[in-house]
Amino acid sequence: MNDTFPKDACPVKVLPREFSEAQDWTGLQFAAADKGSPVKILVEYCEKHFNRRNRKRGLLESFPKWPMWFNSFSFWLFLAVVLLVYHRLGHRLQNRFLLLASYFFYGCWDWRFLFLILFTTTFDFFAARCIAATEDPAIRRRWVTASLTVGLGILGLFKYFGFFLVELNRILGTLGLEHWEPGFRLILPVGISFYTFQALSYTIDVYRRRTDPCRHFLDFALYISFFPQLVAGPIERSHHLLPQVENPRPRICEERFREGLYLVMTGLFLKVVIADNMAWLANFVFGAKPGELNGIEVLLGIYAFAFQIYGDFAGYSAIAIGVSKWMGFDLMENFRRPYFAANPREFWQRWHISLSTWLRDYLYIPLGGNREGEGKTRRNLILTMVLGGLWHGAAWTFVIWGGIHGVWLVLQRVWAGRFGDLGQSRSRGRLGRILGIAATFHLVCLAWVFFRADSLEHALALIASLGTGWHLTDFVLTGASLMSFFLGPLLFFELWQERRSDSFALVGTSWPFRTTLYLYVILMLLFFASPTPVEFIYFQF
Amino acid sequence: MKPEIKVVISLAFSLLVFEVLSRSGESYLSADVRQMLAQDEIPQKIREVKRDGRASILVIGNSLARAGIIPDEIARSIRSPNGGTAEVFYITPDASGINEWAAAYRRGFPDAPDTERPDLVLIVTGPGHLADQLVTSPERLSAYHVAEHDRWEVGMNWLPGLGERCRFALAGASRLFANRERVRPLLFYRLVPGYEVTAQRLNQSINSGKDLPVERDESAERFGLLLDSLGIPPERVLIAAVPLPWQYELPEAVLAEASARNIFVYGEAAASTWPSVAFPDGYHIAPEFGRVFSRQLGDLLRRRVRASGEALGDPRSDPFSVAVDENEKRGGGDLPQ
Repeated sequence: MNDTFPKDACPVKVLPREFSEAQDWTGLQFAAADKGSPVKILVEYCEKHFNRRNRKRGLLESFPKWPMWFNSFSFWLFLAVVLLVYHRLGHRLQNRFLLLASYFFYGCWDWRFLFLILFTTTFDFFAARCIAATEDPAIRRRWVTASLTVGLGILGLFKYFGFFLVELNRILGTLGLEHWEPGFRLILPVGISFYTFQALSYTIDVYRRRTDPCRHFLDFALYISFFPQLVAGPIERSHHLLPQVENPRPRICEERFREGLYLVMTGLFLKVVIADNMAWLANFVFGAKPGELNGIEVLLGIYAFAFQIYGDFAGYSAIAIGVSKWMGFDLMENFRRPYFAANPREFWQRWHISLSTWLRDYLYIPLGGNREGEGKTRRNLILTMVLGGLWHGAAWTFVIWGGIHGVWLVLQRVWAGRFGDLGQSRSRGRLGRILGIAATFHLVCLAWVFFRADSLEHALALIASLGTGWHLTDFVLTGASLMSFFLGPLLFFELWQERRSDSFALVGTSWPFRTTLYLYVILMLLFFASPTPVEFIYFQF
Repeated sequence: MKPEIKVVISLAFSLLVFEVLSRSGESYLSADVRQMLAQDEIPQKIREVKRDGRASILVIGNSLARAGIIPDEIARSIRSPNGGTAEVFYITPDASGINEWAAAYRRGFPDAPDTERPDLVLIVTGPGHLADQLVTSPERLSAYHVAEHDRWEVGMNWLPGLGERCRFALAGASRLFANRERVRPLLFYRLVPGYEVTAQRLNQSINSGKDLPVERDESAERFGLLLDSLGIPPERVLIAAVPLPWQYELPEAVLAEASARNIFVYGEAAASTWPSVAFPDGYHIAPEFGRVFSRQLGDLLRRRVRASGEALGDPRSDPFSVAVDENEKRGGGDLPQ
């Protein structure tokens, strides 16, 4: 583990290849303090009171860390216990028990960050009450500003401090000035981006009078920390989730069990079979030097990453929604077969829906949306997507990824103004839609290169190597075979859903059909789990 | 009955059918499984051999031991009083180490009287196989090596996390689960073009990114457990370090455990330089060089058994006699340079 800031890379950009290091959650990591630094006193204090104790008692190293991945046995055992107890309790006790379980779940990742989530919860709870308690617009604005400042401030500190420090040092270096090393490094608390956005949506909604302030602190704490969606979404809205927390929920019935089972099965399949197996191929391509690979190999790796990240995140969301159904909660749909989108706008209506609608409601529309002329609409689109990219991580590659999607959306607007929506015009028929799907998929894939690459140079080198040496290699043959084997049935199933325009089409089929499909899923989970399991990518965001 | 209950019951029934199929067909999965299944027959075979008045030698190790120990070279070293040759048995599952060896021996010979235990135990090891290590496959350990009476102890104390314990428990109940990772290579190596080359390339690239293992204090508690479970006099136990392309020494903790029990450790072959042609795959010793190594061990065994017989004093208590044959005349000094 590094003790100092890496000088040439953003310390908080974490991608799968570096997960092993990132999972070592030791919180603050101390380096030799810069004697002239303004945080010298803080650093000395920390070194004195943390490092010494750490050395003596192994305190920091011995913090309990049992992350409960959704594809781990520990999570399913935990869930079994939670469900057993939960369904024997009344509504108020259910909420208290769920809150306890959620804090336990989060504490298993790193209990120190419980204080952070508790602080955010407490501050936003009282901020919302203060907003609702007055009709004075100035006071209301002051409190919502305070909530935004605190929420985004914490997020900025933990997520972007390292990034801005690297950039600051780059500028200082350019000016010939001495680098500034604060002497400590902040580790990103898991799920901070998700619960911060969820908390912000609450105070903003109370400010906009879309939501009544929550009366019970424990209910609000559960809204923020509800464990199935705590660390990777879906990012719920207060007017959707909070009433479900505050009011008695439906008992589990056959229909809920059926829908939950379907979601859990598909979620595990997406994660364990699709994402992890695609990661095996993608990690190789993105880990190799671009010069070592030929064009088809790089293309295969990009396709593999496209399905890795889809399987990973959509799988997590499906499991989260599925287990919530078993507890009587209805979370919002987060993915709707995104690679069947026929244009970039449709893609964002199907991909990470909870984030894209959040950005639309709390960023794009307040910026002016499409109400202030074409020029400002384009500006707003690009700005929203760039900030959306930055939300994913503190690195230029994420910013560029967001920017590319902004450009796609703008270009699509221009195209739609002249020729009609790509892939949606009836006059172009099925062929037009197929072409639209293929074009959109490749535009999205191009953006994924920047999302996954270690740096801008790495991404450009990979794209450049797409044009070199198109010949078959063992890797190409194996990769194509594995992709057909794993992705073929998935795409066939999604096409079947797509033709019915129903994400729950399977739930309505006959029970023998469902049994056969579930048996296929279980056997695939048993026999074809990846030889090298990969952590959920979005837990880092 | 509600439809979803039917789904769940049908799934459970289907998995039961697959479980029955996997139990009946598991020996077809790989030679390694066949070998592990055969381990359970070793105690019975040893009893039969001893009933015939012949000696039994049990080799414990992994594929390195299988490559390095040529049975007729070892068996030829020792003759039973009635003149019959000794029988050599192997507990040598692939990619195994002290966890599997200790568990498998305790499963095979739980409370057997001395007369039903092997007459001589040969533990053949590489550099790190006898030191305590993490259980790499709780499934294999649970399904094929651990005895019922050790299950709780192993599950609670040998495995680091809840996930491993769950896998261990499930594999104890289900062979379908225990052997689930064997299906993928079985199919892909045969059906996917270029899979073997690609898998090697990809795994190499993954492993090259990993940090080197951190040096840590080694312990050998499970090795001590194995030695304590052997149930035969220390003179009848030999620990041998197998030749590898590089020279090495066994860990201090292992040597200390053996020394505390007066068990002889033969490390010369590991301390010697063997020619590179001796390791065609870069790891396992070739048969002709394995024969040389076996001969060295045979000579050593002969000397130790002779000493053991003299020490015991009563020929009736000692089923061995020393085989003086061409082997001894040849001596053990033919170690290749």
